[in-house]
Amino acid sequence: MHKKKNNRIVMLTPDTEMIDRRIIQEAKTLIQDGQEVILVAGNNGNLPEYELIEGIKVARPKWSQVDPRYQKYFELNNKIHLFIMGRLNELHNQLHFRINKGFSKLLKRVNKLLAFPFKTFGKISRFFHSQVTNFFVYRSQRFSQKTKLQPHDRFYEEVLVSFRPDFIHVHDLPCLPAGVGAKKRLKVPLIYDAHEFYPDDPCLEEHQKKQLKESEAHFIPEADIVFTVNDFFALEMERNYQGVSVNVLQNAVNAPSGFEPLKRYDLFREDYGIAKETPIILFQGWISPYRNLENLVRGLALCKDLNYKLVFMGYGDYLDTLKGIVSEVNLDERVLYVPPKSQEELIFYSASADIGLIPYPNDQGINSQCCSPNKLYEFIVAGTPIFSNNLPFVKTVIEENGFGYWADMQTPEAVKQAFEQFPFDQIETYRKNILKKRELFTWETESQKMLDLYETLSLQMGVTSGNN
Amino acid sequence: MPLALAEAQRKLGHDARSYSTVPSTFKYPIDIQLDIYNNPEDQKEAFKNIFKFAWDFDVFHFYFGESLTKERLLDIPLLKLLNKKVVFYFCGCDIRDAKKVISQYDISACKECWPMLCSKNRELAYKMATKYADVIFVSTPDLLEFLPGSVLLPQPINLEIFDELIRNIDVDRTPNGDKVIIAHAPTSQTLKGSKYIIKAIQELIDEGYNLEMSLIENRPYHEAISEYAKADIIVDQVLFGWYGQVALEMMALKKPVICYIREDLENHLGEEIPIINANPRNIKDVIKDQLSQKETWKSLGEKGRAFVEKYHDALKVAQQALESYRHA
Repeated sequence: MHKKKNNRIVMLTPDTEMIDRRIIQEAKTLIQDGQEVILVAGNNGNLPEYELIEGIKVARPKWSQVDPRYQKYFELNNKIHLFIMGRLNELHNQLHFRINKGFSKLLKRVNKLLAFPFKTFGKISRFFHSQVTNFFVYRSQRFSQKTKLQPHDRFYEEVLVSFRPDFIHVHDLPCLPAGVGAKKRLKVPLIYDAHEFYPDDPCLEEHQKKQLKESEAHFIPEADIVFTVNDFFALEMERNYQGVSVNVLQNAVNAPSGFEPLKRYDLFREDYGIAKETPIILFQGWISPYRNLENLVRGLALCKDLNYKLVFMGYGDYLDTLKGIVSEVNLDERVLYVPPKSQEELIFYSASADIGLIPYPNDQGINSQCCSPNKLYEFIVAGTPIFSNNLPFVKTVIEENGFGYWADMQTPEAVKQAFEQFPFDQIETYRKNILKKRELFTWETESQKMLDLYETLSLQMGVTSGNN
Repeated sequence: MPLALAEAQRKLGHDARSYSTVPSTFKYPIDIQLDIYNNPEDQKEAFKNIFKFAWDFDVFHFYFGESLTKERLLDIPLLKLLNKKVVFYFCGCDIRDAKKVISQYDISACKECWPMLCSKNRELAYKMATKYADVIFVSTPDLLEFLPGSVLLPQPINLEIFDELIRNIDVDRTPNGDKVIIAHAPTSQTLKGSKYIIKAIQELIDEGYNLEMSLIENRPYHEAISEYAKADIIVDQVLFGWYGQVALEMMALKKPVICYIREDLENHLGEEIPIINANPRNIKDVIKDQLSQKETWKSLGEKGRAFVEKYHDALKVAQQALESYRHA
């Protein structure tokens, strides 16, 4: 049964266990459009090399830390070394056995004399082995400096090439160099999806930021399409990298099957027995030190007369620290910890809250300041009014559409003031506004932009499957 | 398959031997069987055989894109240098281009196959075959598009084995009133589309049809054949687009066979293939439909047998292969 010719798209992501929902959504959309998608993801050593995730073919090749061009020499070098050492040991053992049989009294002395040449020869062999290894490591580094491709970029470039893609689609800056290398070899279009402005990560040192910015500036012109998550990042990238045009593909989500936007869900109250008149304020997602959660808790502790239940629904190593802070400010009665939910369940729980919180800090660089977090879209799809810190993009969405309220939440005092000023009587109005406009923020709408750009690129470049 | 061809060529007066260096999972019989990965003596033997066979034989008929030096194919130029005839016989994943198949065909095993089972030396085998081979055979017509100039050599089958089985079993058993036994014998559940087949049969059982599924897996060849013989109807596969060895053997046993034949290949042989065509989308309806016309199964089985005799009888296939060697 013939069908129209479709393409093989190979995606590359550094994600390991938890693959970003955005990537999964993009891949599923492309598969539904009839394309074949292979997702190459990272492997921390414990993950299967191949699996199917939500119908997506996922490959997680294991990198042996060696530049693939030198892999066979490394292996040969190791084999020779092991062979020599094995033979030496075998010979030594045999001689030892024979001497032991014949001259047991002289054994100690003879054995000492015998051990010397074997040890010396073993040392020489080890020396050569390490010199050869060092030589190839040195060659790898020299080559990396020249091409700006690190050995691990070369490895993933080889992986991409081996799948013979018609399109290469890389996620985030760590994957861009490999994508460019593969694009040049295969002469196929490259799509670069920057989920954030990577060089501005608050965890990085200044020299690392500079290095990453240089790397992105060097490779980004090779991308045929560049995506990012909102206008703020798009402008920042265009400002930093002259001549690069950046498209916006929002982190939107679709409602799971069975979800009814008009229905009022109340799962927290049903599961945990929260009183009807107590407003439920929800923080969902990763619980980490960079999310301003300490100020949130300390600030709420100052709101003595406020009636509420604060729900932390998520995961993260920081959860225990946060629990400590909650106890320290005597807020245990007001706080509920709910285990993380699957993507399918999540929206039902989000819809069961009265307010969805986005308290992220706005003083830790552009990535947190201009973020467009998944939870923003999850709250919109769920129909949950949003309360956020002063975050430019989130604020714009809230203000322009009447989806909620924003206020400064940078300090505990600011949080106290923000909650005291929050218009609880407007919750129903915010909810109605969301229900009216939620379709504009769904993945269904966003995904069409991606498919259109693929289609245009395909026509421009005359991509037909089987070119390579 | 290699044994059936070699035996037939011997019957036709040639000194032919089938040879394998790795035992098959299903313990297919073979003339010379080595086990190079588990037996060091066999490794030495296999090495010696490269030179011995290169000296002794005139024609080398290689299966699955491998040769006397396995997937590296190092001996091919040497054999050509010695003026020997080199023949490649590709049978599926050894030459099929999964990417092309997925992009061009709506239904395919490649689409479901993950991790990809394509032979690792596929490109090398293609290059060596197109450069050095005197003849390139393929076992099924869907492979012709991947090797321009290749020739279809149908899978050979030794009909004598099946004649004996027919004598020993009640192949004429009509399942009127009885429970219908549907056999499915996948070498790989993914590639044969077993999930669709199993689901369809289970749904029919749930709907009250008097059915039983016989899933035959990981059994030695002769044991598996005896199991097939007990079934009333066989589902070979619903993804590949052409019939495989199991379908052939069942037709030889006069059993009705359900299998996916790709639209563009249906008339490849210039006559109707006596196989009930089904794909993942309609397998349930096809089985249901067949259950209402059991009376046609006998004549379908007879047609199947005649078809196999016409195209797949090892003697005829061997004759065709010998002709090709001669004219190469």
